[in-house]
Amino acid sequence: MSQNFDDLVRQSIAVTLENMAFMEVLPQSEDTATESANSSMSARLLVLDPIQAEMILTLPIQLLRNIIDVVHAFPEEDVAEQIQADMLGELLNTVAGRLLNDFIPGNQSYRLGLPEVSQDDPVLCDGPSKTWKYDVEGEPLTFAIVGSGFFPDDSVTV
Amino acid sequence: MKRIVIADDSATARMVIRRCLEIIGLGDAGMVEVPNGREALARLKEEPTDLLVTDLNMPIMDGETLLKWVKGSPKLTHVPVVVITSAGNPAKEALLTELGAFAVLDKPISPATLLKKLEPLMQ
Repeated sequence: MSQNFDDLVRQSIAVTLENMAFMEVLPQSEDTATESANSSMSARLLVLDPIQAEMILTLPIQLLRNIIDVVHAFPEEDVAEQIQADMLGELLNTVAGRLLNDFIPGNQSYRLGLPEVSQDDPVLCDGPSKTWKYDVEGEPLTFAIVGSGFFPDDSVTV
Repeated sequence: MKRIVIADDSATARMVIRRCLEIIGLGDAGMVEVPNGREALARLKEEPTDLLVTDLNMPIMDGETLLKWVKGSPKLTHVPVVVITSAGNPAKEALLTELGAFAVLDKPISPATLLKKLEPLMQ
């Protein structure tokens, strides 16, 4: 996995969070490297064509609530689980699109599935995979890709 | 503009689009939000609409199909269609433009990028 691809992933997440919620994405610090005290929510999205892969985004509920507060301006007590799921799915959808725009040649189109959200911890399916961890407002953000389409050399670590 | 239809299966995405439209000076327009292309088509047929803003990747009827139906309808073909998508690249943009899209924008959108594309319609 090249440093360049790591940069593409970071840039996709940073641009998405900065444009949608005015939040800065930083490398994971030691403070957030430990397990977050908050429960988390995960969203999954399939890349259907021209490569096959799955992307998984995991955020603490509190960070999701903070993002919703910026985008929707709802009082925290009014934030239903459905709104959290919708926000997480839209974040993953946007990150995936930006990443594929940079990864796939411009003359080739691609297809994404629809995001699916679950509150369970993500279980990575078979195939090479890699996980990236970042810090957003003191909370951990985790992004993972599973599938050989992004990792042609099969030398990827989880 | 008096009426704008916003089609996206994500309430979050619809909110972001609505906010951007308000910021660029279209807050006075009546905005109709729908979660898929089929419902968008139904609402477009209800009364005259000045702009359709649609996502590409939606359940039931996707944005590309919606665009084809709008541009294939004598009653709706004049409605400018802006496609805002997370699944766009130059190849997709060329296809959508060929199908009649007024503009194609990548998510996440900003008021500045939206204004740049919509300026000709706002004059």
